[in-house]
Amino acid sequence: MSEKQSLIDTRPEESKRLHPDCIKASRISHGIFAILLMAGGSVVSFIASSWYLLLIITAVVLLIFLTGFIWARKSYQYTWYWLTEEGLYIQRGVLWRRKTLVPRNRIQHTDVGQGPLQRKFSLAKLVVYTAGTRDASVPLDGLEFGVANELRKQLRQDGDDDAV
Amino acid sequence: MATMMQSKEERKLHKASPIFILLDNIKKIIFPVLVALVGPGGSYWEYIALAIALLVSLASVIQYRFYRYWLEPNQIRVKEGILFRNERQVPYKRIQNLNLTQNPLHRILGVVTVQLESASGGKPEAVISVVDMEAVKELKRLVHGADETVEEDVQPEEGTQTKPSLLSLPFSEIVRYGVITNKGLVILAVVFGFLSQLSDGALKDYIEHKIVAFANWVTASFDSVLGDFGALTIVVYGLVLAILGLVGLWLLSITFALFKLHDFELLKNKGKLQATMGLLTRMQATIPMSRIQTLTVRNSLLHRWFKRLTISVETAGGVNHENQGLAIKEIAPLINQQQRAKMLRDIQPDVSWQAIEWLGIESRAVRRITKKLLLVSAIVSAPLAFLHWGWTIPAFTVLSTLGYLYARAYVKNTAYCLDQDMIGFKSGVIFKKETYVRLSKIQTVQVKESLFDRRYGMAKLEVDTAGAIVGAHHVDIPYIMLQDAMRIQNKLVERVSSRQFVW
Repeated sequence: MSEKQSLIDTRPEESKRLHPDCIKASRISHGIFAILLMAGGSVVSFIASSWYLLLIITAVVLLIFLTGFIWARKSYQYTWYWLTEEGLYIQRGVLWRRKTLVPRNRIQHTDVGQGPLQRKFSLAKLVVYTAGTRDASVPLDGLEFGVANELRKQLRQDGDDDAV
Repeated sequence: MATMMQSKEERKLHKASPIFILLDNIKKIIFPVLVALVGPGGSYWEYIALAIALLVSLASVIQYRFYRYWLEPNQIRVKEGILFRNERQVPYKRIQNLNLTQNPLHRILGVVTVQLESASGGKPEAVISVVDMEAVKELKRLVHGADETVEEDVQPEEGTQTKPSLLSLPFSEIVRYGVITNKGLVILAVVFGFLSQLSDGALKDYIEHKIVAFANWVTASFDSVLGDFGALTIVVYGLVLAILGLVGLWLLSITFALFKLHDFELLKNKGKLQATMGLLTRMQATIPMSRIQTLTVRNSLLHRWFKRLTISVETAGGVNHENQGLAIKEIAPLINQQQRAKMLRDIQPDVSWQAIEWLGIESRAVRRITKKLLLVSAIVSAPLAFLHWGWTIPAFTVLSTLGYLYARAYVKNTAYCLDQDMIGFKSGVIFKKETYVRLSKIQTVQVKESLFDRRYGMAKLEVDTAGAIVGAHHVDIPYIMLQDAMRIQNKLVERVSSRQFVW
């Protein structure tokens, strides 16, 4: 299976990874989700007054959290991005992999956003908007805040060559 | 010029406008109100609903008095709203399409509803309901550039001699269109949807009674004409019902097509395509050719029987669904197969249609698709074992043979082409479709690799454009080698980034 060349092997030298802290941030958010799920589950099993149900719910929630825990690292390992003269390349996906290219001259505008958890780790999410349909917004989540702003500056086109 | 002088002045809607606004609002609320009225009777909620409906209608008439627009040198300014006032400015340059609608009432009063679309998506940018012909003429001149000839006329009947007509549909073609597209199914679905809304009530009983009576009449007349067939009766009835159903569906479809496409005409004028159609409600859409994002040629089994093709386009104007406003996507609803080359050249002259070289997808894909279909066949035929174990094996054999044949046909019919100006993709076994995208209209390029793709070293290439309709045929090239996908992506990158996107 691994003797074939995969999409993930085709990145150039200058490709970059997200900030490693995004693994932690992702795991914490998975943890919060698991706790909320567990709380809901406990209420349900308390009402049903069934220890058996509580056991099943705990097992399922643990499984979900564990998957998320592992997935966070995997997802980090498989996400790469790089900037060329033509535009921004984003490569991601653990099982279903894809490489998206957003040409520089097709970018309509960009957003840099931060959630509360991301602020704690000074991470940010860069969203590149195009006039397309499926790829109307192309997100890149888990960049360092400074890097996201730098990337956004580099993506900005020189001059006003809007020919719409 | 006189028009330039007056372009600063405030404009109001035509005096007949309140009628149309009211009708429009009634159309919006008629369905829920009807359902409330004919549904299970005897509650005062119906009257409340009716009162609200009346209030809304009255308010809408007042809308007319608050609607103003200005035709400024570079933009149209529209002011509307009673409580929440809204002023919108749309530069003429940004207007993608200009569409006109005229139902019989419009025609009696000599007015038109105008719909302006920009690339913002969703709703039309501005709907002017209603203005007279003079105002439309002026608006058209401003939107389509000052070089427009003055004799350009809204009335399609008058302008036909001066402009080259690309396509017009005679009655026989409209009948063929009805049979091929089978839009009657949509109407049937709506009717059944409405009937299911009627829970219990006098109306439902009445309709059911009528249906039963009709069925009795049909059986009685058959018996009297043909006599008794004994054991074969059920078969004969089944056949007769199927034929009746098919004929009925076709008649419905043809009627639908006639209402929509009566007197269809496609004109080309200074780089713009103008389509006019409709039996009762006349519609006219103007699409600048440079704003076509994708072009699709459809060739279904029925198309092939009649030796016809359908050509549709997508524009960046966001109105992609008929509910959101007027949408004319089928720029050539039905053409003869021989007209294909000429029509494509007429619609998109800057593409080298002659030089298309199709490249097939990987032939190993047959194995992959067959495997997938084998699994489906197994899942479908397994439950038969509960009925009788002997049925499972023949069912599985037949299904998987069909699957194999389908896989072979699929791979044979799927191909892509790439040249200096455009990328094209064709696929489909029964419903064959070809889609072409000019490179200057490409937004993003994606290479996808699924778990199964990786095993075979294959990938999928997807091209995204503006205004793409969800579920329509697009350039998504599956089952090609990863290296090929990467090569195409790199080629596209070079060419796309050297071309500025112009809506």
